[in-house]
Amino acid sequence: MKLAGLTNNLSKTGLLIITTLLTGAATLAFANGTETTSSPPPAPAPATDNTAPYTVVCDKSSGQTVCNVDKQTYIGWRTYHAVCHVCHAQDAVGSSFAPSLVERVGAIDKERFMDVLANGYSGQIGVMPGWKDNPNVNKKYDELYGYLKARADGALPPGRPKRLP
Amino acid sequence: MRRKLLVPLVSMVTAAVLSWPCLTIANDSVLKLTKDPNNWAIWGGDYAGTRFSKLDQINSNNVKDLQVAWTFSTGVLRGHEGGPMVIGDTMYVHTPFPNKVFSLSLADQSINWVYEPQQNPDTIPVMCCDTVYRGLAYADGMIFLQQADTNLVALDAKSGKVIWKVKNGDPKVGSTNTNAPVVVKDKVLTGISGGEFGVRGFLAAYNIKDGSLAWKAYSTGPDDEMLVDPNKTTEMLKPVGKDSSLKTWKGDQWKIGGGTTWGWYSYDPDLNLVYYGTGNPSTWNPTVRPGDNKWSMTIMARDADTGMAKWFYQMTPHDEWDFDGINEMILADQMIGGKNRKTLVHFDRNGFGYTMDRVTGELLVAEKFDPAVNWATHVDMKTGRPQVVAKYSTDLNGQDVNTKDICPAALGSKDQQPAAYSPRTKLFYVPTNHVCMDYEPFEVEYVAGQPYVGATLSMFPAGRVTKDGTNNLGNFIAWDATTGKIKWSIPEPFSVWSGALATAGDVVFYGTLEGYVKAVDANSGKELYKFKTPSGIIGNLNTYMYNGKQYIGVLSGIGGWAGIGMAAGLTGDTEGLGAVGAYKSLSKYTQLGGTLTVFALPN
Repeated sequence: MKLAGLTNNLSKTGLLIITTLLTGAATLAFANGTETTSSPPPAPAPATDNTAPYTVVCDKSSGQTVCNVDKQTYIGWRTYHAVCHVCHAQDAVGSSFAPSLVERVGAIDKERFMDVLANGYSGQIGVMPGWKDNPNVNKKYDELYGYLKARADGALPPGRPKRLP
Repeated sequence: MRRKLLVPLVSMVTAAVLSWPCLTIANDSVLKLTKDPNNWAIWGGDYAGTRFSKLDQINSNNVKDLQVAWTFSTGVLRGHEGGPMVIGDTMYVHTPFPNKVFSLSLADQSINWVYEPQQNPDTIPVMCCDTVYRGLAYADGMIFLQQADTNLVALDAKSGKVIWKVKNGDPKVGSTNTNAPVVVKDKVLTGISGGEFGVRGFLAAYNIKDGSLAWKAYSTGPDDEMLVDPNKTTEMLKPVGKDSSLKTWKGDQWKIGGGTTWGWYSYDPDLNLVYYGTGNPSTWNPTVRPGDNKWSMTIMARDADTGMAKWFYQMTPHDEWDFDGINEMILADQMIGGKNRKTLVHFDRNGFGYTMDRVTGELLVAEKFDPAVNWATHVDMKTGRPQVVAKYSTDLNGQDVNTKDICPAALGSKDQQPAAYSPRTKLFYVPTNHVCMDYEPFEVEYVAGQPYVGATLSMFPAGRVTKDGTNNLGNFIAWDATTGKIKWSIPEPFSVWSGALATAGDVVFYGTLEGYVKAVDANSGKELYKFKTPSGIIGNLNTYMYNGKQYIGVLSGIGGWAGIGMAAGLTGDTEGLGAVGAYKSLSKYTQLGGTLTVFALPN
């Protein structure tokens, strides 16, 4: 009875959690946005042009969503919150003078993203510096792209992600 | 032969004679103007930084009838810190970058003149946390403007014409300015920003007659460059000794070690001492810079004529959390332990409210002004050192480790927004933040002119750590600095990022990030009046009298670090956090735009 109630409740947020509870398996939100459940987790899908540059695994079993990300996305999160967040704010949600990258990164292609990151941009309200001369950023363009794309795609909720083992 | 010798001698005497009266006049002009409560002639209302006005036409009985008298748009969108300055029949209004200055006639609110400097827009991205600017200084018929690109400019107060201009730093290496300068005697004092770019902090004094450098005192480095006398400059009443800064850094890290000076400067004319604080050591990763990192995070008292250091007090040795020590120093005489003391009161980012003897630098009181503060248990009153709690030490936990639930967050229990002191109630009125954080330091490389941060952090409401069911991000508190106790506390949904004003009418004013100007009873904290201005308030409230009528003025215009942190507390899921979800973001309550709003009682 109790278990059934729990199952009903949980199924609202996705069957995946039940599997997590029962088998301890993780649920993968793959780059293409589909969620699959398995035990053990399958090998990550081979990267192709159609897959986004991140892996995000979210677990809602504790009542709060805890997301695990691959190393590259994690480094992107960390670099973002050391440098970019002073204008674009925590979780890339934007501030009074710099746009939300959750919205912006979804609206531009990767090429444009890389160009602005390296060379900067002058907007109506703000001016973004180019990062090509900063060694703490210019080696992490792909990482930043992965993190911000995960945010823009809605695959990664706000907050600090954990790093996949 | 004789004649040749005589010429320089005569010119020296002439120069001395010419400069002598000038020196006295300059001192008197600011002192005289600030003693007349009709003016608001300096950032803090007076040299002591009390933000107290003797005006009492608006009082706790009639403040409920307050109305908007007039408004003025600055035409600038970004964060508006600081406040308007009033001298006689003229108001001077400043803006964030591009740092416009307006001279407004109080008779008909028309514009006498506008000054807009031409600055390289490359300065903008080098400014951490918005392009704010905290205000102007006035002395001897001149307005002093400290531009973002570090140019310090003297303007003719009547015409707005440039009298002189001097470069105080270089944005190419990350140094910029956001502070209000202060004029003391014949010198104008200014500091430097750029702690997140490895800039080495200093306080500089320029001669107001021509902009030439009188003295410059670095926060870190060799004794002579810091203007320190190893035998006479003291900390905790003892001489600091030789190489007091150099000994506390690894190698020559002090050269890019921060200790910037972007806050407020106070002055005691009787002691002839200038007081200010220094900022964080660079980088934010404490594991790579062992030692106390002196004299970052320090309250400094210096001789106004020579810059020589009288005393120092380092509040946060070896910072591990970005608790800049730059907040205002309020000079007030108070009874402590039955004795009348000349005190200095400072509400630090680190969450401790300090009361010091401002003559000697003796530490009298150090208590938490937000009960959520957890990074240290207390300050040891013998050594003056905070007793750091191991689990909140980002250095002990180490690089690449996330230290959780540290209170306060990097923006401090209070940032630069200045508090007020009423000698009538003997209370300090303090705008505060109630925000905690997770902090993870990591290794970074230094490149001149590039951000040099080395830590990542997430911020959230303190209630998540204290688990008391609250979600507010700020409080406006009344504080007794003789005992270190909170008298009353008003919770605010967002950080209170506006400078307070206390008046002889026993009303205290402050602004909120949603844009409200609030008036509360100075004794009880009871709300007496509120009005929603066009944008969020990060500016400071001022008051003045013109034609027999008292006015209250404030700049609104959301931005600053508060504007960045507007979504703070929204990380992760909203489940289990109650009303946090309701905050969404500040943009739901307010939008950009600089506006001056002036209030008065109805005729």
